[in-house]
Amino acid sequence: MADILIVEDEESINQLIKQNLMLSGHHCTQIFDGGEARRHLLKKPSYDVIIMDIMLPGVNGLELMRDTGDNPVIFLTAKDGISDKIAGLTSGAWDYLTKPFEMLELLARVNLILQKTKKEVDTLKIGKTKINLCARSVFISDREVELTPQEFELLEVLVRNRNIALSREQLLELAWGIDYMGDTRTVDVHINKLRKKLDFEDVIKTVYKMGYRLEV
Amino acid sequence: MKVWQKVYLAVLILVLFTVNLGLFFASGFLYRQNLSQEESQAETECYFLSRNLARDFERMQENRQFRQEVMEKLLSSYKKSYKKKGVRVDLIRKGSYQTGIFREDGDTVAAFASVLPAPFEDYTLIYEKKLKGFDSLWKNIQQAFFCVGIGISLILGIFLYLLLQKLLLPLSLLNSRVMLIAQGRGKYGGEMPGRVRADEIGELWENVDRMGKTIRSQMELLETENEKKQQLLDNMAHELRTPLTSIYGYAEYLTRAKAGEEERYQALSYIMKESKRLSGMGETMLSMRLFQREEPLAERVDMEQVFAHVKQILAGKMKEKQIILKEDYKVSEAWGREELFVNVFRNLLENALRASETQGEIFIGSGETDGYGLFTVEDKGVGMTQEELSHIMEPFYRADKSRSRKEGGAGLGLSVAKLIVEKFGGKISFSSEKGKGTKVFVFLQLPDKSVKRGT
Repeated sequence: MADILIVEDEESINQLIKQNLMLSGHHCTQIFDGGEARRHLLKKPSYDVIIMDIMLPGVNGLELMRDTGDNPVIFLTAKDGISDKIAGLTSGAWDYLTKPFEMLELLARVNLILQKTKKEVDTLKIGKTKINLCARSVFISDREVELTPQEFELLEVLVRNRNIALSREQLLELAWGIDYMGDTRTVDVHINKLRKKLDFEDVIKTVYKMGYRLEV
Repeated sequence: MKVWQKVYLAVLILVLFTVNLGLFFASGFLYRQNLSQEESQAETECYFLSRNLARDFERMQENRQFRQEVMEKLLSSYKKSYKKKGVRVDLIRKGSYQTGIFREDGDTVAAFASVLPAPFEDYTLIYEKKLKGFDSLWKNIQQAFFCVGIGISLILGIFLYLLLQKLLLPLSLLNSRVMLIAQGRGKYGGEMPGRVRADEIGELWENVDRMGKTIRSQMELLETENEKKQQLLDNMAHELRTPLTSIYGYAEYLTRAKAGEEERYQALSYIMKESKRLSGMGETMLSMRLFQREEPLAERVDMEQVFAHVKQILAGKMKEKQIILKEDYKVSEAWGREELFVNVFRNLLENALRASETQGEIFIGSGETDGYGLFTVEDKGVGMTQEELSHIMEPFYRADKSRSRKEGGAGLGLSVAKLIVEKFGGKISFSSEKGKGTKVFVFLQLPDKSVKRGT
């Protein structure tokens, strides 16, 4: 879906970011060196999002901001001092995330940027089911399915974090809001309703000891 | 009460007491001197009067007028004339009379009796003189002494006060300065106003000054030490965070994502690799810590054997990069521990390998300089800037972080090498030029120079 550049010298972390982003269907380009990134951006200057470390061999991330152009940049760095954050954000970066990071947080921030820049595709087709997040409508082979607002909210959370297992608590928090005092069984009830209405028995999987995952 | 007040009071009391005691004795002496003078004068007068009276009596006898009324008349004329001088004269017959000096109605009276010479030895002349002049003189003397006493006391008091103030002023300044030191602020020292005096206060001042300087330098030392420690901690936190981020991230990925066989394997191998790196880091730091504490035994080390061992360990990597190794040994012994030196030179050679291009050259050599064995490892690789050179001994520092981390280093190698070399009385230095290569100089003690240290 989106075209994302990852500039991170630590091979394992670079790979981790890539794998996480690939779950949401994004296409990733990996670069491990500041100088290399500069040369690469000359060749291919346009990306939907650039995720970049600050401490890079060769050219550091702050200096690289001159080469990133209008592309939205997220700094992902171990530097967690307030002055580092301010330096990062004033350099023109859209966001600043510190290591160690949570996968959901990284994805949420990437999605937020994609939403803002309208790069995110609002419709998703899973089998015969077509979900339009913008119009808040769901069709199965051109027949619209009636969903309650709460059911749609839950579906949206699952779709936005597709291929990632979310715990019942996380689902409650994301779909119902942090103030909701309900039982986690509410989640099970709504999941079952969604499965029935959309014929998603195989799409929304129950993950052992974890929660639910919408698989695409 | 302040010291100056105590000293002031004590000295003042002591001096005033002494001065007044002196004045008291002096006046007493004067008093006695004057009195005895007056006394003898009165006594002489009395004696002459008695002789005169006797002569008058003789003449009266010659004229046969020696009668009671004539005698009375004569005596009363004497009495009258002497009364003007403040003297009472009387004649008694065969009586006893108290003589001497005594006081009567606030006046000093000198009383004398003189027996008239024969044939009038029955008569005794009484002479009582009021010492009016002496009394007034004495009064004057007393007043003068009192004034002098007061004057001396005042002058002394003021002088002593000023002297003490002048002497002890630096002490109070010193006190305020010491207070500043105690509160941990201020300059801790500085010059005494005016010149430094050569007395104890001057010495004290100098000592306090020295103390302040010592404290300041110690504080500065502590601050830099602290900064270094902070830097080390920061570096360590970063070094810990990187593998932990990977481990946590992959574990999270495995629990949440629908991962294929390939991805699962990759994630798990990353977790294993990063865990290994963490534990290796922990072990190195622990051994550094232990090593810093204990004194290792030293012995004669065959350095050629050390290099042979190192080459054997790194043979695979050298072959992979097709490194051309050149060796030239002029000194083959050093003082230390073989296994530790293997560690040092393995680190140095690994660094040289990392810096070198494929088919690069590395030189290992040895020689003797200034009584030390000098062992060098030189590469023609990427080299380092001066800035990088100044940091390479710091734990967790890497000149080229991506390269060394990929090979599993933690940035501790040179710190450990330095620790080992310095433990055996040697030192390490570097010279490097960006793009030209790096040369490491390891100075080690030679065995014969170190025999005294013995094992």
